[in-house]
Amino acid sequence: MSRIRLLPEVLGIGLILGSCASAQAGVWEEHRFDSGGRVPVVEVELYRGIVRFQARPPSEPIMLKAALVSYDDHRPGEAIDASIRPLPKGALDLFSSPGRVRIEAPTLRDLVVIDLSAPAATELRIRIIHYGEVTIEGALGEVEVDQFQGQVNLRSIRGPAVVHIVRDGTIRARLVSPVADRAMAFTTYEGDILLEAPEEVAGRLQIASARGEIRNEFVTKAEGGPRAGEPILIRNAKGTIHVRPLR
Amino acid sequence: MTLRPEDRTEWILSQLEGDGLSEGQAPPGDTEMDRTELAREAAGCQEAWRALGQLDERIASETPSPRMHSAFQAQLADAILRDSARHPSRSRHGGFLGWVPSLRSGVLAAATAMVALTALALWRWSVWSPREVPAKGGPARVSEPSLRSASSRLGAVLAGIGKGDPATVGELGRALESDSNPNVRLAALAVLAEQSTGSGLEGPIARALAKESDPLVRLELIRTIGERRLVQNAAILRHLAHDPSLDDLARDEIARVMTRLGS
Repeated sequence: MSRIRLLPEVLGIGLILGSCASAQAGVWEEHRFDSGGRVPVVEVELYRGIVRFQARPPSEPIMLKAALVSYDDHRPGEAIDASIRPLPKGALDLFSSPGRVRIEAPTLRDLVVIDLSAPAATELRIRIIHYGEVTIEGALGEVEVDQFQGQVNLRSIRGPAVVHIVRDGTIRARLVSPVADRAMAFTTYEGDILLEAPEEVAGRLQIASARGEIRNEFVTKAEGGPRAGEPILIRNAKGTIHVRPLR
Repeated sequence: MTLRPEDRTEWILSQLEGDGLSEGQAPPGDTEMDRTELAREAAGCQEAWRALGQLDERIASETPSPRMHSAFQAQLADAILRDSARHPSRSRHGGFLGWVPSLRSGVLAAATAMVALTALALWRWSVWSPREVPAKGGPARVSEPSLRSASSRLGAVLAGIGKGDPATVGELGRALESDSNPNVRLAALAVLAEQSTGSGLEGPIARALAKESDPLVRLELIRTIGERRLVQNAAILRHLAHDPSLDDLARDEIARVMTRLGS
């Protein structure tokens, strides 16, 4: 079982609200956190990992399941259910304060699998130092992903999202209406970016590729037209950037 | 010796101001001897990290280089900071109930706790944005710590579009050099390039290029030098071209820009 630590607010006045329980269910290590009536912030920092987020109704607690998958045996994008195993004892560090959960495993060599289900408005900040596979579904809050390589898949989110892959990796993002009128960015050095979004965001797209290909299927183009909101930056150095309306 | 980005920056700025070393003389960390020494140190770092089980194959297969050495040093410093901030300040859930201090140790623990909480507060402030620096002023206030999320900072940078006042330009320069998020740095570069010219752009780009490690931001910096014909930045590119950690794309781009600048 991992160590659970209480993260005090500045000057130490924070108190844990609600319950914080943990249990070992098979190979999965499970934890539950109450958000204390606030919009939760969940921060994840891993060396390598597979992070999956599933949105829940506002009143639901933050549920966390964690396990491990061999990095050497794993092939990008493949199913992991058959190969998961329990985390080593004490491998996961959890810090919790009202409305805030931080999950850390910055030294484990293998892939840490983090399955999160939390209120849809949860703010997610995910940092993966080396290889990551991140899948976020139904998030309505801010999403920030920063990883060295791997894949990022955002499904049915409203943003704002700021995603960066330092070296090589692909980004797939599907924005649904109403898309947040906040600045967003999707960038990778070497890899494809696919963005699907409602036609309403067409005027906000700012796309550039150093040596890659750009395919823009939107009827309205940002160049020369009125801007309909804060910009959405899409950049890569190599690879295809493909933006298209939701189908 | 250790490659110090501030030494490189200082040298680059002195070159721009015309009172630096003579042309052809390398900045600190850029001579052949320095590079050899740094590569040797990087090889030592590789061994140390391999022994700790923290060296992944990608880095293990790379040729030891000054950039790799800098990366190791940064990771090591980060790990030390994290470790020193973490251990004295956090109570462990599992051990808390079983930890019944004696009276003497209770007093010590209370004093330690006050120090630890202050350290923890400072640590929390910096843990997600190690590159953030406090703003000195200006309307955009991109680097203000209250702008915690990357999206907020990105929005603040992009709000600078069309404003050419010195305060905004200064704030954009700080974001380009210091923001923790590469997307914010990219946006700051794009906005800065749009509204600044000549020396207003050369200084921030020189300083940013001296310490930038993200390949996409670095490539955009190189491209901007070419597109805006920043001749004063050519010396930096000449030295950057010798960096063994550059990939082919960045190397090609430097060659293309140098040709364009006539250097």
